[in-house]
Formats: sequence, structure tokens, C-alpha cells
Amino acid sequence: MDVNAVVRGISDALGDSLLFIGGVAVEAYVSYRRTHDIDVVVRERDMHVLKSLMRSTGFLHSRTAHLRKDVFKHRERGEVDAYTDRVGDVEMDERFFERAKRRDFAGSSVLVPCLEDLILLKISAGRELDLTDVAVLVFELRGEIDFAAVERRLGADAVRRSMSSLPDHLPMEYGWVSRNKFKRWVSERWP
Amino acid sequence: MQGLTQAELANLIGISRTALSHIERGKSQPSRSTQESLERALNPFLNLIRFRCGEGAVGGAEILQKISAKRGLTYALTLDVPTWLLTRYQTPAAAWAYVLRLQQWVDALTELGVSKAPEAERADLILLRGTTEIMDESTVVQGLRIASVRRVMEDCAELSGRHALDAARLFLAYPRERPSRFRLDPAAVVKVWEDVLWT
Repeated sequence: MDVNAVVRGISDALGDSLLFIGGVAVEAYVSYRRTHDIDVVVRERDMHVLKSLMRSTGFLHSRTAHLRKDVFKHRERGEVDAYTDRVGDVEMDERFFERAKRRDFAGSSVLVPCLEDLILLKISAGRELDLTDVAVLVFELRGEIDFAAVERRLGADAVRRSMSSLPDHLPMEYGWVSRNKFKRWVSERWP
Repeated sequence: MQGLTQAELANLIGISRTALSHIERGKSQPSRSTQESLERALNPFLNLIRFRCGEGAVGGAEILQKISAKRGLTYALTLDVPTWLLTRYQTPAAAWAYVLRLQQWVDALTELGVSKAPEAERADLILLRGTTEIMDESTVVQGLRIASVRRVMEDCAELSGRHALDAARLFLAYPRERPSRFRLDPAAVVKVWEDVLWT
């Protein structure tokens, strides 16, 4: 299953009309672990392009109405979940595209949310694995993140709550010293 | 006792060998702090040794295999790499391995130029103190020695985060290997179930 080829194909066909979120976006910033599924946000008006592309490459399409996503599945090539107006509790508007960044993913240039938006999406999803991804992103790239922007979007209290639990989600590969160092940094940044 | 002699364990937790022997035979109750030290000393994940080999998780596992073949040292992989070898579900971040004769492994890796991971940096090869039981239960998959599926599943469930996905994925593939003390993260189960239902 060549995830990279699927990402490259989608990115080439839709360019700036599609944002990669989820594991692809996290890996475009920090190399860590990811599953083979690909999550994207596409503008409603461009959804037909994605549908045509996926169908022409053998993906089967279905709609998961309660999650407001289109699902494309292929036995060998994996799964692509496409969102338009909403990802979980987060409303996706044009500003996500305006703030998006081009990053390298396995040799391809892909459009991904800016770090602050990616953290917002991950915190809002709120599963253990999402918080692990946020912990890795914040620990590795904390000097580059505009936390005030995250607080404006999510609320200062919600960010403080999430951040205080974050060091415990830092993977063990980083070791105990990193976790303690991270704890100190969080308690100084959000006293 | 996680590959430790009684003297080594007593030394690690800072009590005499006689006192440890009394605790083991139920002749005395350990104090709270001794109990905590004991639990810490016996938990392999609290006593790990982190390396940075720069070859990725599978590359790190292959280095262990080469050392094992050359020097007769034993290892058994757990967590990321075995799950990857068995399910191809989630890319591995580090080669985690139980080993016997820990110091000899450290020396062998150092001789090969594999250095310990600097503090505050992510490791891609991690050694854990193993036991002969873990080694006896291990098997070879695609040329690499892995701990029993039951052990890997238990370890994945023990560590949270993305390891919870590995636990759920392994459980789906090998339900009969479910360890007796085992708790799955429901969100991980839902994600894995959705992801692999078709494939």
C-alpha cells in the first residue's frame, strides 16, 4: 500500500483546493507515527474533482452522513476521508485555506493547515492518539507556534487544560527527562 | 525478576539482600517507599536505555539482529516493530527490544558507533531489561525476533497514545492472544475497526 503515491496523486490533481489534515499533516511538520488512512479537507465546489479522481483510480465512494465526510476506500491503496464544511466540532472556513502552508511530505509538496490550526483540529478531536500528536508537535516546534492564536480560537481555559495534560502524552521515545522538561515549560507558559 | 539477580535488585532499590529476601518470602512487609522503589525497578519501561541509530525503527531492529547473530546475545522486539511486521497498520517510530545481559548490548551498540540518544531528543532504538521467559516465548518474523503476540499486546496497552492503536489492531488480528490483564482504549478500537474493516 503506497500511501505516498496516493497523497502525491491527490495533491497534484487538486493543488491548493485541498488541505491534508490528520497524520499526513503531522508528518509534514514532524516525523512520527501514522496510519495508512488519509484525511483531507476539500472545498465543496471542488469535491466533484476529488470524487472523479478517486473513482477513476478504483476507490469506492460512500458518504458517512453523521460525520459529514465522504469516504473513499480501496483494498490495496487504503482509505481517504474527505471533509468539506466541518471536521468534528470545528467548522472549516476559507480562512483555513488562507493560513495553510506548503510542506514536504515524502518528497511531495502538500498543502497542510498552519501549525496553530492543526493543533486546534487535534485538540478538538481529543482522542489519546490526537493528544500524542499534539504533544510531539508542541514539544518539537514550540518555538514556532503562535499559542495566542490557538487561545483566540479555542479559548484560553481550554488551551490551558489541554496543555497541562500534554507532557503525559509525550511518547516514551523522548524519555523521562524530556517529559519533565516539557512539564516545566508548560507550567511556566501557562502558570 | 526482570533479568536481575537478588543482589542487583537489592542494590537498585537501596535495601540489603537479606531485607529483600524477607520481603520476597513474605516474612516482612515493605515500606511504602520500598514498595515504590521495587515497582520502579521491576518496570522495564521505567528503566529503559535510549539510543539514536539514525536508521529508523526497522533499521534499528536489523542492527540488533546483526549483533545477536555475531555475538550470541538475545533480544526480543516489542511495541512498534512487531506490530508493524504483523499488521502493517501504523508506521514504527522506534525499535523497542527486551534484552538479556543489558550491559553487553550497550557495549556492542557503542562499538558499532550507535550512541545514546541525547536528553530531550527522540530515540529510535530502545533497550528494556528482559527475562528468560520473554526470550523463550519469542519467535522470528521476517528475520527479526519478536516477543510473543500476547506480550506485545500487553506492552502496547500499557503505554498510551498511539500504542493504544497498536494494541487494538493486534487484538483484532489475534483475539485469542489477548492477555488476562488487558484494557483497550475504546476510541482506538473504533478507529482501528473503521480502518481495517474493509482491508
